[in-house]
Amino acid sequence: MIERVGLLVAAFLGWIGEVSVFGGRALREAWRRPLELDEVARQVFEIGWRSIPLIVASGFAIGVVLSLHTRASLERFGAEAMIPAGLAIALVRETGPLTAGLLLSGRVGAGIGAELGAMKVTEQIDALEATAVDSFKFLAVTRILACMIALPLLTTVMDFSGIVGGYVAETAVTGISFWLYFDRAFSHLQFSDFIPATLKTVVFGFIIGTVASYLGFTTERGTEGVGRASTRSVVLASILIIAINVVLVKLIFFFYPD
Amino acid sequence: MPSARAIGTGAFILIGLLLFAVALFMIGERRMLFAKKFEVYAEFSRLSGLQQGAPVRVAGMMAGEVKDIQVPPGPDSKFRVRLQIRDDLHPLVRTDSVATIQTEGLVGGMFVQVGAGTNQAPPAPAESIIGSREPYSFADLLQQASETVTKISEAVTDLKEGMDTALGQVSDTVQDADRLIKDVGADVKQITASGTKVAADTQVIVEGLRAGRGTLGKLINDDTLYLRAQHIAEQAEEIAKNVREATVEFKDLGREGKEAIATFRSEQGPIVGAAADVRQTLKLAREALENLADNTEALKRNWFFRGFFRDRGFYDLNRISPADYRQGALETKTRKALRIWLAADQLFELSTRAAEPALSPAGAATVESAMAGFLQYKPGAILIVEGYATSGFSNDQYLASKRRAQVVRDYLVQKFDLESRFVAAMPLSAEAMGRSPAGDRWDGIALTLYVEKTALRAATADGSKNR
Amino acid sequence: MPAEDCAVRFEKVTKRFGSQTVLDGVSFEVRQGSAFCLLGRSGTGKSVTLKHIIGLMKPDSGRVRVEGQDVSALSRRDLSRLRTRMGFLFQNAALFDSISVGDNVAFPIRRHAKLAVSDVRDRVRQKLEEVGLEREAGKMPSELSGGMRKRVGLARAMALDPSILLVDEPSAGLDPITAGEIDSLLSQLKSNRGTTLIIVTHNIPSARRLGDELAVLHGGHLIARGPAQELETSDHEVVRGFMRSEGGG
Repeated sequence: MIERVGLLVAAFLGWIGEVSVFGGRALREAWRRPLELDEVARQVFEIGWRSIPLIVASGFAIGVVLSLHTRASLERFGAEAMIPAGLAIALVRETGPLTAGLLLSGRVGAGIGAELGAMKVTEQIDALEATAVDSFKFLAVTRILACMIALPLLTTVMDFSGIVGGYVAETAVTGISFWLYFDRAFSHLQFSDFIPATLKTVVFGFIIGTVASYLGFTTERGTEGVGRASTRSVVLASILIIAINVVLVKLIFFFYPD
Repeated sequence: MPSARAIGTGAFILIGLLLFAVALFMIGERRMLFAKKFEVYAEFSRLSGLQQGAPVRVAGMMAGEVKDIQVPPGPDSKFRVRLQIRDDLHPLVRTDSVATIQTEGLVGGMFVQVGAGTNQAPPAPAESIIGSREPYSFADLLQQASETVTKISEAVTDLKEGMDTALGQVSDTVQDADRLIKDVGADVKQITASGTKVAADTQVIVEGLRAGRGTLGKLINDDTLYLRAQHIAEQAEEIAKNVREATVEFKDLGREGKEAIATFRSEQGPIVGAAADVRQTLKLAREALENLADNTEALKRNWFFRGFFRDRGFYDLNRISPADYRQGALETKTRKALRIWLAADQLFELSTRAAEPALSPAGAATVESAMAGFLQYKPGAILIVEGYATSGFSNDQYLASKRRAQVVRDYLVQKFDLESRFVAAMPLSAEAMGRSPAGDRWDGIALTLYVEKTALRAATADGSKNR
Repeated sequence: MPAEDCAVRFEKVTKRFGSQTVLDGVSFEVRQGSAFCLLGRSGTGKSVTLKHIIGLMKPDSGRVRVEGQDVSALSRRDLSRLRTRMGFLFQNAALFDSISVGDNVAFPIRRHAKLAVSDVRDRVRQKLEEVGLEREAGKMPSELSGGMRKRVGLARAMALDPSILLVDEPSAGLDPITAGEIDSLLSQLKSNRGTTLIIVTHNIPSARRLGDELAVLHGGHLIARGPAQELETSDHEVVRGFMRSEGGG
């Protein structure tokens, strides 16, 4: 039993190590020519633009729900005027970045894992190499970069959709005007609430892209392996995001102690 | 023609960056990063939790932030707070502007309010130190005012004694004494009435504040309210001084004896000398106290307490007119009226029924037994003694009903030691509220208790359990 | 054979996967402009041999020389340059399934030939015409049959007019007529352009038709090499059995 646990731990550590090496290599290779900007743009389209409906819809719904909750709690203190600000702080500091990261890991992580896995088992990756294209750079680096570019932008989109959702929920109760709500929402936000929280999603994007690409690249055993790569990439990327978020939040508090 | 994908990518990046920029701008605008600014200092011995980065408002407008707080070198110096303020508000910040530390809403953080100065004062130069006022407690201020008013009442009592002494010594000049009583007595009576009222009003406000009623956050925020409260306190001090002065003068008058009274007395002309001073002082005191009573009344009615008073349904029971009362001024959704009808012939001495009604011993017992059922709801419930009278014309009915109600009310307050604020007499002439045992009209009184339905239910539940 | 005539040369190449030795000191060379058919049963390392030539795999020992250069010793840039002179037709065509047929063929051209957009289009049309699929350029790979996919794969492999074409199982999974069409396309390439062909197959008739030289891989060793007639009379039992099998697939 203990031996099995030990083996599992060793396997996990080994896996983390390999993924880290993979990610580190991606960061190094990103600077080497050719930069594959066309492919990065294509992936930003696939990962970013195509996720917008999901992000907007989820952000809106989260905004509505958060607004209802903040209303319920702040109403007790007679601090209704703080509802927009409370919602915005919750959204911008944590809910937006984390939810956007998890949603993207679900939508895109699975997609990348499956896509690269399928390319691997159908020899498309070899075919790329045979065409004198660096498959790692062309497939992995571009996707990792695209995730890193798209996620902060998607997070910002999510923050705003959430605020709009909160507005809709709030105006249904109080009839508050949009601009007043909007203004109040930002009234208590600091740069230190917005910028680090939004930029930390670059790390989330890196994790999503790296884990999914790594699992796609190491897919074996045909279609079964493809399915496994996509499921695993969602699970592992989500876990890593949640775990690294703890560290990042702590780090942000360290640098911005308010 | 670029591909749809290229357009999508571009749109995505642009939308994202645009929203990012909007967020930065919205945050930045609040922190006035993009406006021209100047800095002034304000000093406080207590910070009340003010932090660096806290907002600064000039005349209530978002103006900047606290850039820095310098810790004082010793206990007798003050914290120096560096305030960064938008340059376009500089014309409002004068050398006589006053900075205060205030709370933003009930759960909000602290901010610095810089009051607009006056036109006479030059604009405060950058890097100068503007005036400041320490954080205050509104309730304390009012408490102080209330205590002052109590002092006034004591002083007035003193004054009355002084007057009695003086009059005792000049009892031979009955005519003059009468005049004096007429002239001065009215003032003293008025002073006592106003003093009582001021004390009661301030007490209501202080209690409300202490109990966290009213929109406390806003109240503490409001500078005009503070100034008004401060004004009330100052006024009270001033009046107390005046009244004390008048008392001293009166006592002096008494000591000086007949000779002095002689100057006081003047059959033909106006009253002159020391007596005139006393009268003048008293007149001023009376006017000032009336003024003060108006002020506390205004404060009490101020919109901050509206919620509190709305819950209660009245500002002052004695100020509800019979017409409003009939309209249901005291009836709310949650409050129920319990009414007990008592006929005049059971209550009052037959001989004095109309002009000076007095409770007969049997009447007193009737009232007490009627009241017994109500006592379980006190305190908190409002008791209205409704007076009714059917004989004579409508003015006779009004006066008779008023006297009857007042007699019973006073008896109840004294007998059961009721909180007089919550017990009032209500002259309702002949027409009964609701249906009396005699139909539309009633001759006598009705004890009406306005009780919260929840309290009523609880009491009923208890009752049935006990049974 | 002088080195400069030698398109591909294996020098005692050994490759192991775990405990299994797939290639055990294999040596051979392929003359420029010739067609070399590598025969052998499934799992004997034929595909592995091809992947060594294009540098997708590296030998555990020994050397693979392509046009005189040691593939495993090349820098990434030089390897890339070398790869652009080679084409690879994969067993299942390995078309990029996220882009259209035309884009598949255009892919190597866009990446390695500095051509104007219209020139790329012309080149793609020409390559698709050669395999008879010019009308399918707009389709996605998933809409094509196996034979068509393979022809697209061939068009892609030929997109940069490589001097060496590596072909993995050209007729696998195809009906005999389609397989014949592919064979004739390949032989045209050799005769018209002088492309060196290295073909992995177990279709003996096809190998006979195409191959200037045949070789049989068995148990990690090259057990026979030479023209078809020579192999038929080989004194090696396995080789003779193989040549007689006539079997495809």
